[in-house]
Amino acid sequence: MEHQETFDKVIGIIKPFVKNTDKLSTADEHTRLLEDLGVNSARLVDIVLAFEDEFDIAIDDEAADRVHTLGDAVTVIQEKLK
Amino acid sequence: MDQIARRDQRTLALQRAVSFLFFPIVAPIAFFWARVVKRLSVRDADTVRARFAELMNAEPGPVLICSNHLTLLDTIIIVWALAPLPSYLWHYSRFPWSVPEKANFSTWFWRVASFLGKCVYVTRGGPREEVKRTLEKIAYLLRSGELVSIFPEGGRSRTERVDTENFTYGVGQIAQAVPEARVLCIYLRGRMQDGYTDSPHTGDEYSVTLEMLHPRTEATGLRGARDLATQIIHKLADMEDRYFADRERSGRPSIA
Repeated sequence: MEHQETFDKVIGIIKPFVKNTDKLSTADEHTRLLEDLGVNSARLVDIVLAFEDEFDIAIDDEAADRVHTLGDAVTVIQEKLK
Repeated sequence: MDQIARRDQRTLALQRAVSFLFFPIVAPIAFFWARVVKRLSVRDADTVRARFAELMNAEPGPVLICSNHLTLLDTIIIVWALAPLPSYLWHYSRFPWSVPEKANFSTWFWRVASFLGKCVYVTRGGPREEVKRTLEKIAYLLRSGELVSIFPEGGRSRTERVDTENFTYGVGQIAQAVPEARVLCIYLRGRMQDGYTDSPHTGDEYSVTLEMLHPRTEATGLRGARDLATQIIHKLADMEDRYFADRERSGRPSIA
């Protein structure tokens, strides 16, 4: 799966969890989920599980801990897809 | 037996012993504050206490207390409601350990108070190793026959009701770590408690209801933790629905 395609899917998945929706339209790889997009930290688990469902992958706790930015999410997903 | 460091075992044992020694001093102060200064009461406390004893004696094994959370002093009300204070001296394991956020106890006074109140700190969103260590301590305490009390919402509810949307899954991780544990769900609410506050309203009368839950899931990992946490939070939400239904129907909710 192409990097951009993964990125776009990630944006679609996290959209329901984002409070600062205006930041989503200008989001890039460096956009932080908690600080920039206002995602509730308790909902990170839901986002990781949604990644698992969407991409049919398993994300272990250590990999989940590495997800701070949109770029981190894409990296983790692409690693698991290999 | 859970594998926690001997140092942690010794620290918890020491904390329990010191807490026990100071209980005859600290508990009456807390009770005086609740009963006399704040003029709080627990409705039909004898019935609540009988129900608690019945549930605890129904079967052996670890018990995790999960309750809704609206004031910073809910733990004191729970301890008061579950048993007469002197009885804790004979069953000190039933005086529950609490798991508060570390950042809330920055002054020495609250550090000492929380030590004596059998608190094990947790750092929300903290380093994985630290959170894991806290989880292991809680599992160890539960398997040692100690009661542990946590607020599965992860904080005081901002929605005035049990928050079934924005709760944390930490309680699910505990239930996963100790799958044999029963969960004692406690719903407590003062008649004047419309939303979250620091302190209960002066003169308030608390209703306390108890139900035992055996959460189960086939799922593992984060998904399993979410599943278990969801079962617990929905049980509390059901108890809350009944509380308000009773209150609306009769003017007074049923208890225990």
